Amino acid sequence: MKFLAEQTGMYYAYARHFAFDGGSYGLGVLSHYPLMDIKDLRINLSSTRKPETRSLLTVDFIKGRTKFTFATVHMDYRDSKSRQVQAEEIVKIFSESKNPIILTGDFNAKPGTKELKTLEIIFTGATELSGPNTLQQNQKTRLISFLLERV
Amino acid sequence: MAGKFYWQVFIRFFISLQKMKRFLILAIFGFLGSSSVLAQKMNVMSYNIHIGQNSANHDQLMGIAQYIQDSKIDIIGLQDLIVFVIVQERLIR
Repeated sequence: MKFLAEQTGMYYAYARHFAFDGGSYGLGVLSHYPLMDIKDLRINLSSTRKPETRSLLTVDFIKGRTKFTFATVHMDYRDSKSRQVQAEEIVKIFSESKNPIILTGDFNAKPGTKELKTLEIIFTGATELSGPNTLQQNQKTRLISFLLERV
Repeated sequence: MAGKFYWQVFIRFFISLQKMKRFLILAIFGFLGSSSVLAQKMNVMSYNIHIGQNSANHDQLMGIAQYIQDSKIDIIGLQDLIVFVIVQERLIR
């Protein structure tokens, strides 16, 4: 993370999902704006035998006279029911926020799925504004990464 | 008597004009303030970097950093990051 920040000349924030092989595995944010209120909020992962949580990394930054909240998430790749629970938790977390929110992430879900429709209760899809972000894996292109915004 | 009345009307009219002017100025500033969010433009990206390696497990962090820099984005959310803390050992002779 620090390497990427140094190479790009950006501010950074990092939150770990879990410890991994002597280090950790998680989410990051790189920003040209100084970051404030870095939070490692936890959302549940219900597809595993033991109860686990994953990070929902949020940061605040100021652009112009507006304070924005920027968040990134990596939703469960195993199970849509687990993702649905996560989506509901995300909506609950942000529903009372007064700042405009930008939510980015690998949602592991296609457009029109129940979990994305849940997120659309408070977020508007911004993907169409910038073109679809895709993941190419085994020759298949799936639309699973999105930018969502709430103004 | 009538002159005094006209003066009073004129002064009240003038004051109400001033109030209207003040109200208009406040309304304009209020509108500008509230529309500041909508006027913002930002380049945002979401990027799953898959632990900084390609499918052949070759390190590509340098390429990822270059890509982010070339994209001229303002803020980016990254997934699948692995972070190791390297502790430098001091040689004791």
